[in-house]
Amino acid sequence: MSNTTIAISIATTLAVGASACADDPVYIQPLSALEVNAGDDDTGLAMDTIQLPIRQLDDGQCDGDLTASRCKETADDVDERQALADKYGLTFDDIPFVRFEDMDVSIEWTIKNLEDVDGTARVDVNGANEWFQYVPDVLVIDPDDDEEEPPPALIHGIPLMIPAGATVSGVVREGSVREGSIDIELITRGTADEVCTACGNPVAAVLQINEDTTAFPSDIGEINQEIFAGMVQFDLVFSADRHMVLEYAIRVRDHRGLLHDELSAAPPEELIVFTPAVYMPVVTDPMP
Amino acid sequence: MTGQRAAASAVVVAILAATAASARADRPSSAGWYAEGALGGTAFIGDAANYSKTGPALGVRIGYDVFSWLSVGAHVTASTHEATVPPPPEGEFYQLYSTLAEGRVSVPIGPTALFAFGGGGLGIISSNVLDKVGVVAPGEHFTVAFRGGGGLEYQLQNRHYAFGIDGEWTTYPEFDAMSSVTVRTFIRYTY
Repeated sequence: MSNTTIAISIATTLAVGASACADDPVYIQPLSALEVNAGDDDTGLAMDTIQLPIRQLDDGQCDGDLTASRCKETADDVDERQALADKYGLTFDDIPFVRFEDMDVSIEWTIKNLEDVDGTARVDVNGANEWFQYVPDVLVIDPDDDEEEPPPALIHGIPLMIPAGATVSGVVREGSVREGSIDIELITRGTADEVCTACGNPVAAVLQINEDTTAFPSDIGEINQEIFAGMVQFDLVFSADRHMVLEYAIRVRDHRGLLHDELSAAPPEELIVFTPAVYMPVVTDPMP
Repeated sequence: MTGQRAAASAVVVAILAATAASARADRPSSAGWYAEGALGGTAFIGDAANYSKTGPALGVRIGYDVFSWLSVGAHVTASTHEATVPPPPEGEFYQLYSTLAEGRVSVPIGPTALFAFGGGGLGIISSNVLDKVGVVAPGEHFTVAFRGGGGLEYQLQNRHYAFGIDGEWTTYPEFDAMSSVTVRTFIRYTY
């Protein structure tokens, strides 16, 4: 056997191993669990926010000025983003840094009922892409209607019966998170009829199934799935009518290597902090 | 004392060489470059057994027979395990890889051979799912790895082929000293 054959054999084996690692999921753990109804004055509602620990990609072109928009990207990333802008006839800043196809995210959770009577619990998820945050409580469509309920959560759960003393596990699947990413895009940048901002229902997208959406019209032109923004922030809302604890983990398959190796334990200065704006619709023609 | 040990070692080497020579006469076998493929299972021992289930394992060895009784080479392994950390997450799997430099000493007995091996190298874990229980630290995917084991090999009439079974113990010091045991069956081709 020649040395070349040996080298090829070893290299192939290592390449297979390395490629198997490329898309392996990583788990982002929150700092603590969410607990509700621990005391008499508890509202039965708890919330937690996690922003994905995306690393700074500065390769020196920013000269230390990390406030510059391009400083989170390598030169190759900038080139790729510019190429996408050219391809779709948009500006550089219309192309998100974290795109829809960059990561697949799911949220695994476990609820434990700490009481000796059955209870009901619910897990909802809101969140944000790098530009906009979806906060249903601020989306009041008709301010004159005191009884109006806020729109549903971006990824709305269903009430779950948790038996006394039992533990129940579940998952917000990748498909649901993908749908959430699409919905934020449709709501914030879309001008399609199904979003219907103009008719006074800017959150209609949340109530529809849009997982097969591959493009949508916007004020700046058609937005293709290739340049949909991906969610970078997750706001978990846990509600229950008994003393319960929610533990969760965010599972990410990072196809582009955006996450910091040390995840949430990374030094803050090595992470990108996104500051998405809370989305407030401009309703031009409220529904009758 | 040192001289006695050296003499004893020389005797052992002489016996091994003589045994190997006589065995080769009984059952001719090739010597030189070899490749080996193996399938089996890996289980964890100690605390790590609480967080990972036994899983399938495969291995590849490539090396060279320096003598008929001494081989050196590379040993690449992979195994898949279900993580059993406190949920969440639940029902998740991870892979454990290793690439080690290894030495092997064989004692032929007729068409069979008893062998022992040992080595060191690199271990890689594919996921941070064990981060939750402190087996790996944040961002930690690599560790040094040490391995030792032994087995039984049977030389076929065809001088190129042998098969056998081996067992090994591996420790991954930087993964909280996680240790595993693996049992494999293998086929070996010597050129």
